Amino acid sequence: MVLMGQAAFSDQCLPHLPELTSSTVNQRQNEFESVAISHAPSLLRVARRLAFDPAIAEDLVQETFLRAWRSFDQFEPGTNARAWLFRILFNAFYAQGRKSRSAPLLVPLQPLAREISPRIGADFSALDGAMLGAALDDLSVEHRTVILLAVVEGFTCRELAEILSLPIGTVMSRLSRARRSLRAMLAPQESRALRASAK
Amino acid sequence: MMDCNEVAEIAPLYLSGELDRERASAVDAHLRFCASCMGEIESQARLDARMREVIAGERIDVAGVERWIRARISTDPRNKVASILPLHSKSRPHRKWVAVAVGVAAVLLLAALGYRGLVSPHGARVYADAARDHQREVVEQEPRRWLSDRASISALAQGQGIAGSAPFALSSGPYHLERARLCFLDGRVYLHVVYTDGSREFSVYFHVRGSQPLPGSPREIENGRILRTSVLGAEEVASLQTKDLTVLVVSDRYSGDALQVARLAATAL
Repeated sequence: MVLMGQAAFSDQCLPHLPELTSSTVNQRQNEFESVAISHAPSLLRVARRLAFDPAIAEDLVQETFLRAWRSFDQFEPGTNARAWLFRILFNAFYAQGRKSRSAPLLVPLQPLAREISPRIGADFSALDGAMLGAALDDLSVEHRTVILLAVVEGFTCRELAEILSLPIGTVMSRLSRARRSLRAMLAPQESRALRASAK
Repeated sequence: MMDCNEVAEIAPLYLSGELDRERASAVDAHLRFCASCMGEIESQARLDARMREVIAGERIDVAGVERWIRARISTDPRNKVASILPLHSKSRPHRKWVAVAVGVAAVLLLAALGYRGLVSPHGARVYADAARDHQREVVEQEPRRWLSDRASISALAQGQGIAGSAPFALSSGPYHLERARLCFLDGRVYLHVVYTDGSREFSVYFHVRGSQPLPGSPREIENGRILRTSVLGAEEVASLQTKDLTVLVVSDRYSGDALQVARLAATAL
């Protein structure tokens, strides 16, 4: 059916069609390789922290790449491929969440004001990777998401707003709350670690 | 003058380097006299850097995922449809929608140009340009005219308002200055200097410091100077500003050289 449509469009193209077709697919695949697949480590890192289960995380990243491949014709070369892929990843993640639960996740409203006061000047160098990873995992999924994207992956607030389809004001307040929660969790641990190392 | 609540509110944009010059300067002015906010920002920057170091440093094995996706896309039944369409084309939209799209695009373009002009005339694009320049000139070694003798490099630097000794300040310890030339990053002339440690090469771009702060998240503070890093494809860009200079360091993202050289620059320049 596709070939018939192509023949009706231009008979002259017919003799060259198989070669043209395979080279175009190869060209698309090569381009997809260079534009998208290099971001697999970042996507998988974030997916693991979102889903916790390595198998689910891999499924999520595979689904992301498949969706990206199928909409690759709509991707504008030279634009932000990482942000585009993360947007697809989060759409897939939210779609997966919608399938597995009916109630939406709610972010507990924490005041932006300085009611929780992590120690000023804390440098967090006494904390090991396990402590930091555990604190990150203890955050709500929304807070974990903004920390992963802004702090670990280095996206700007404007990029976060685009990836998560949120107003930038929401991104900023969510990021501030997430950072504050993280510091409130980690500051006592750092004090304990410093006391232990001083003994 | 900004108060503490205003600084707390826009701290995410300050830390990600997204504030326009005026607001960034207002935050800087507040931080100079408010030890409490300065402590908060510094502490947050340190925690961000530590978190990034730990989580981004975790070993991620993507071989299985990459194998799966390569196999899957080469056998995707939709290839049959996609392959007869020209690359990056979709079905032809109705003429009326094309006209609407062109109109909207023109408005957005004008808005973006205006926004860039007002807010970020020399923003994050300079990092992308530096990464691309390093890739082309150093990694792929496109044939170019480079200068390699000390006197010519000093004169080249001075011609750009940069102290003739500045490129050589980093040529110490394990690093050796190899060659230099001028290049354009985001429409401005930078002095591009290539150094080597004997096995790897990396690029340092020098420009006379402007009044605008650098974009990007602060990674750490060295010698009172904020070091920022960004990963762009296979390259990592570290940046800092001294009293007189803007300095960008570009290296392979896995080598860690960019940040290391930026630390050296923060103390040597």
